[in-house]
Amino acid sequence: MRLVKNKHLIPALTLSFLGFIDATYLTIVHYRNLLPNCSIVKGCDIVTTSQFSTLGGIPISLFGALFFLALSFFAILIITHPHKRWVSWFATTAFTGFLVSLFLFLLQIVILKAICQYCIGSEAISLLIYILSVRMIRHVRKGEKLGHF
Amino acid sequence: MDKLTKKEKKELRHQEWEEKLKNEQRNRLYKKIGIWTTAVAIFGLAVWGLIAATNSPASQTQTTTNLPAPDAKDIVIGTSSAKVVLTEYADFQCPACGTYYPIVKQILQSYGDKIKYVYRNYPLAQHQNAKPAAYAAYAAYKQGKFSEMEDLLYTNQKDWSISNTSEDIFRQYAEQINLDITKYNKDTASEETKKFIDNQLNAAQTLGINSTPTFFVNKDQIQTPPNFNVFKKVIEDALSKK
Repeated sequence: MRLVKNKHLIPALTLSFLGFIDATYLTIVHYRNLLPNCSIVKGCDIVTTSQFSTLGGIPISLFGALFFLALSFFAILIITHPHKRWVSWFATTAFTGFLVSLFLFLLQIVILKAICQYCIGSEAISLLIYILSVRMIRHVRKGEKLGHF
Repeated sequence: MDKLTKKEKKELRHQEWEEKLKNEQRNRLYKKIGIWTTAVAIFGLAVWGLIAATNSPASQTQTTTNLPAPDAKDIVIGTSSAKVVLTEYADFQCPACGTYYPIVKQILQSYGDKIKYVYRNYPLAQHQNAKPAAYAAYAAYKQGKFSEMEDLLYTNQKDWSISNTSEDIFRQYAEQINLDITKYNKDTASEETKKFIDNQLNAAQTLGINSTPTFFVNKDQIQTPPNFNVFKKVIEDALSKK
């Protein structure tokens, strides 16, 4: 019995999980008042402690963790309850996340002039998930089955 | 055994088919429950793992023999006979430094004469008011009121961080702690103050410090402790070594 027919689903779920780990790490670091372990590039402390790192007192990374959690939820929903509706929800969430990530990326480069490896990682994952979601939508439109039990 | 009639055979086949269908449905349901349970377990484990990883003891230290010993020019709080020297590289505008401030304050209050605190400025370039804040604190230090100014700067960090009138705000703080304002104005504007802060910044960069706050206990750089209790343990360990 084949669970998933759409080849983009498992990579999308894996990426969502990785994004969730990344964003959750930054959220934990924020609430514990730690500085993230910045070993690769300088500047992640600048980004993660900047005035843009929170929105109404809530760290941006928490929104990121919830975003990746939602994506994972929709991806699993597509596996267990295959329906076009969940693909649309997945793609819409992925597109919104991609736009927010693009904005945050520009904010780092243009205004803060510093790079946070965890943030760049999360933004790259958002981009990849968005690309996969577009492909998923194309496949669904072509009439390919998503998956079935 | 009696031979089954055609009708009975059909009935039996139907029953078998229904049974098969029910089994398949049950299997599908179990599979779905299995997938969701596994997913919840994996995500839960990931969160637990991350929490445990960030919980790791902060007492891991790294000896840095290059750390300059406190000298007459340093901002020093405490007696010279103190057993432990706590050196902090910080930026008054850095939110993390502001968050750590109450912990450092509590440590200094808890250990009194046993600890000597050295504050070294590391104003980050992207913090527009970090240097003026450092000038204000140094001017206050010259009048013996560094701790009072530090307290106001960190406690009210959000009020002045993105303000275009931060220097006026700092002057109000100076008045609040009864500094000699004429001397304060002269000191904050002096070339000597600017040079002092720049020298501290350069020395910190030379030392390879790349984040704020960075703490040293005696000559050892410590991982920034996540809370008071962990910080206390680091200090206790240092005291017991002596």
